[in-house]
Amino acid sequence: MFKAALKNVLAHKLRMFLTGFSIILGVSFVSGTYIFTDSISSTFDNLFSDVYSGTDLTVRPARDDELGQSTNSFDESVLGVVEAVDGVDKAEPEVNGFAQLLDKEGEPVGGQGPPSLGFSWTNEPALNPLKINEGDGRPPVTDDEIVIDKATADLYEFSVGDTVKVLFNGPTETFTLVGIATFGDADSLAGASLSAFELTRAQELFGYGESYSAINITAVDGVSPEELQERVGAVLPEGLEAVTGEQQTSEQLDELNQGLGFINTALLAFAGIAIFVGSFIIQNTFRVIVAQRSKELALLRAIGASKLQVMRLVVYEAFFVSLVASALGILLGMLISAGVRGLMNALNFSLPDGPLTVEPRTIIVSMSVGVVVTIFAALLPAIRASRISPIEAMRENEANAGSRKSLFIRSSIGVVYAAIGAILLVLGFNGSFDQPLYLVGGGVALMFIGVAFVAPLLSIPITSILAWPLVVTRGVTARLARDNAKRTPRRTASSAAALMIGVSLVTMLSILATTFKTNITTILDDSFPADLSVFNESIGPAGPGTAGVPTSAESALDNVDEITDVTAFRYAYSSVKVEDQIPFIFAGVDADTMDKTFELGATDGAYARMQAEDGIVIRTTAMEANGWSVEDVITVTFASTGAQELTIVGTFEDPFDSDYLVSTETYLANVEDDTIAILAMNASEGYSTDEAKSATEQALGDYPQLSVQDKGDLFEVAEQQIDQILSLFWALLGFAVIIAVLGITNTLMLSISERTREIGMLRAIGMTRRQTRRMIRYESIIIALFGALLGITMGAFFAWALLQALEGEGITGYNVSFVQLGIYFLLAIVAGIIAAAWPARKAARMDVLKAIYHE
Amino acid sequence: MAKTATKPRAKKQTHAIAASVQDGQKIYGKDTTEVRALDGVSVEFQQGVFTAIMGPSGSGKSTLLHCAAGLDKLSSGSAKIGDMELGRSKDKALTKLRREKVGFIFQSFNLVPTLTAKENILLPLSISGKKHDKKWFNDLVELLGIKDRLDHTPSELSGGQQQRVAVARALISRPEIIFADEPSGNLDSKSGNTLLSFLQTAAKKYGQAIVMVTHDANAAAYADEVLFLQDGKIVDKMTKPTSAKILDKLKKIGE
Repeated sequence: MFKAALKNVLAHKLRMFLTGFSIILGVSFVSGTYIFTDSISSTFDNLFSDVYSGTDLTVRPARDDELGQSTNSFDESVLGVVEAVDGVDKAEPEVNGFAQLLDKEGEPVGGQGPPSLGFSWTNEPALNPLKINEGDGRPPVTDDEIVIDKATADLYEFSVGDTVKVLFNGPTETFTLVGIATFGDADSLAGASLSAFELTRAQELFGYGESYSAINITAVDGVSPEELQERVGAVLPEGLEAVTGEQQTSEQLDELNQGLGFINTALLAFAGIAIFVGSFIIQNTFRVIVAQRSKELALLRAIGASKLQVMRLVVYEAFFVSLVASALGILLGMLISAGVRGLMNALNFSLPDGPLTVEPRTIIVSMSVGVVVTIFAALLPAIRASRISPIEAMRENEANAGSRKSLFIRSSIGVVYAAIGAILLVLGFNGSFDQPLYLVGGGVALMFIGVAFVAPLLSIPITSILAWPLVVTRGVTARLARDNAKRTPRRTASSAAALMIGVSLVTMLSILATTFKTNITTILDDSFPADLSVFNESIGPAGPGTAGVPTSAESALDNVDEITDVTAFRYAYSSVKVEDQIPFIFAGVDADTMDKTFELGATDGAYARMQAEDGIVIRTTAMEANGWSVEDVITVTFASTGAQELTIVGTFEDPFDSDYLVSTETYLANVEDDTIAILAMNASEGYSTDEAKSATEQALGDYPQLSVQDKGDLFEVAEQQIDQILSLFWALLGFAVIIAVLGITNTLMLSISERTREIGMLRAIGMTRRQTRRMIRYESIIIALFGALLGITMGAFFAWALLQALEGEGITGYNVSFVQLGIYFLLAIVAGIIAAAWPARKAARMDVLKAIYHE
Repeated sequence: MAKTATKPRAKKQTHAIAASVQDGQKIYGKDTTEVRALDGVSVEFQQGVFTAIMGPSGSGKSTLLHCAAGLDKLSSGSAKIGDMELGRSKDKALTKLRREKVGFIFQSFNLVPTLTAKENILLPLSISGKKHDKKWFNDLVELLGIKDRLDHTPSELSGGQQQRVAVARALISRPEIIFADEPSGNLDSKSGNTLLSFLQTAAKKYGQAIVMVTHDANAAAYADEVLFLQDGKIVDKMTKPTSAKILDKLKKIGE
């Protein structure tokens, strides 16, 4: 049986190639994801190890596992304490902070991309991650000197001797570029722009005064870092800790891997979709193979092969194909990850060079996914093959494609699946389960499978309707195409189902996007009455680890007559604990002006009490979820000041970035970083918004990183962000659609090879080549339209379910852009034409005589 | 756009030549593996004449049919339908020729399974975008005895009925010539006889040129004329054949 299966694979290379292709693409996505993230991870592993190789020990503010670093700095006197420890060879202080270069046009370097980091220059080379190579200048010595990283210097064409302007959390400063440095051996740290200054100058620039953010230490020979760690640790003041270089490397790697892990999961989710789509195509192919070979299989049965042997024959065949295809998929994955890295470098992420890392895990996972999915998809056709009775070997006609009755049974099962899926989906969105994502994912997958089961029965009436315009205008070729699509409802349906998956996700996203856009307008209108807002444009309105708006910028607006009600919003990201939860954002707001610039539906006097009593105002949903009521005292833990008792002094209704508000005074008393996330304000009486805007812009002239936006600008920014996210999703889902299109091609190839004789006959009685091509093309379009229709319907449902769940978040309505849906149908037609290109050509080129006498 | 098929031709136009092959050679392979399927065959097929081509397997009878019908090309010599030289014609012209002047009947009926009998019969006209002549259609189905089966799909028809549908399909566009490849090969003898006598009638009554390849002497006996092929050459001709005479001849040729 094994040999027979192998022979079959070799005998049908083209068919196998087409099947294999969907496996290759799916597997390449999986392996490419792993290879990409592994390569980055291992490259950085090397880089960090290299960078910290000279550092035996670092003294820094202690870190809380949950809330991060308690403070940014400690007093200079610690240096003396450390230096006095026996076994310390060299100890060098360090300060770091935000420093963003301006390019030669005065625009901040990096835009919305990677961070901008500033350091003090460490004179001891062993302790300095930055390195100035021969001929690239020297370290900064005076107040107005700067060293920057090579990648940034190359990209923005800075050379030693140039004047460089730099932004800090305050106004712009000017420096002379005296050196260009590398980070370890890399030109940059993953695209971050780096700059270094003389130590005391850096302390001043980053607002440290007479304090440091870290002390880096080398041990004398014969003292191990661990030993030194103990000794230094013993003399450190409270709130500081000593970590070894090794620990730091692994900490940094953990952080990196966390970020990469997220990318990994997201990409694997798309890989999963691609493979899911692929499995439909694989199943389809094997179904056709079994149908075409039913006579041959029956003969095997007639000469004594058991049911199991026949089944095995098909399964072995699937195994061979998947083995080869998965291996090719891994190779393609390597190419893809190399390509992605190249692309990211082209986008100035300057990832350090390093070999592609193919972990054994990558190969094992990719191979198993490819093989298991293929065999699983081939299982149903294999079971069908085993049911072929030996008598069919004697029959003249090809095995019929399954009775209507079995279609009904199949459909009933499908309806049950789809219903269960829909229930899971709705529960997942609305219920309070620990892992709603699994419910939603499982529900969606079940619905897809369910609909795929019902699709054959649906396809019979629906393809008739979809084909109607074609049949009316195009006559007999369209009619034949439609009948061909209906003739093999299972095959038509699974090709369409493969397309359905991608289309449904795209549809869902565009309905969500349209609805969000409509909502943003209302939300901004209703809850954000402020005429103007100011934020750091390099990051957008909010995001962790952002540069934000320096507090000094708020002061710069003090004497601007054209504006009033200036309200600062400060956000602490994941660094404040409320009872036992850590909200993503914890907000401090200017209590006295808050209600003029933001409308959150707060209880009367909430803001005033918040300010007067050091209280906290909480959103009603969070109140309910935790069973709190006003006047309760809750414990709020800050990284720097520890646990504080705050009284709940009021609530608010409407959705906001944070569920928790305290006054600016409370916030600044407990959070070290005083950076503002957003400044909101109104135009003063008698001034137009435009006048107020230009006055504000002028007052903020020293802060090119800040942008002043009126409502129109805000809408635009919000819409742009939605569109950006959408286009990313579309690019990834495009992959699923490509596989589906290949699936249609595959189906058509198989169906024309099955109908060779019929096509020959049609040609013999006068069908032209052009008509033959058209017939195949129409069939393809009909399948694609059917898939698009299923997908759009499903996507509309998914969007509805999700939006139902979001109603509590202030997202209301259900806005469908019919133009967009119309475009999807047009694209389906295009996809159909593309999918048909090759099969149509092949059908038209058939030798009439050979086709007619085809066995 | 749609146009009505030309009016029925006069009852008989004897001796008008519907198709011909002149000095036809067909060679497969090269050098040592060379096979001469046709080796200098010249033949004319006249309107109103039902011709049968016989010969042992490998005698070239099917090749002759295919080349005369324009489905295959001669290696040398000329094949014509009407005035058109087939060898020099492109696919487009050949397709047009098949639409207008040629009908085919195959051993394995080759009906489109998704279409009803009526739709199958009218398919050549639908493909060429012509309207059908209702009277001609009614005459045909009446004569072939498939009038009450018109709304059935092929799978609901017997083999004999299916082949009669195929015959109606071949005749519906009033071709100059019909090529039939073992048309009764898949039928029981009763259905076969019905079919063959219809072909006979079609030649007589409508002046239809019919060329049929068969290895069945009984079938060939329905023809007006029988050609005997051997090793790619026409070795004999017989008019007014009977199955006994044919069998006798075949024996002489020696299988």
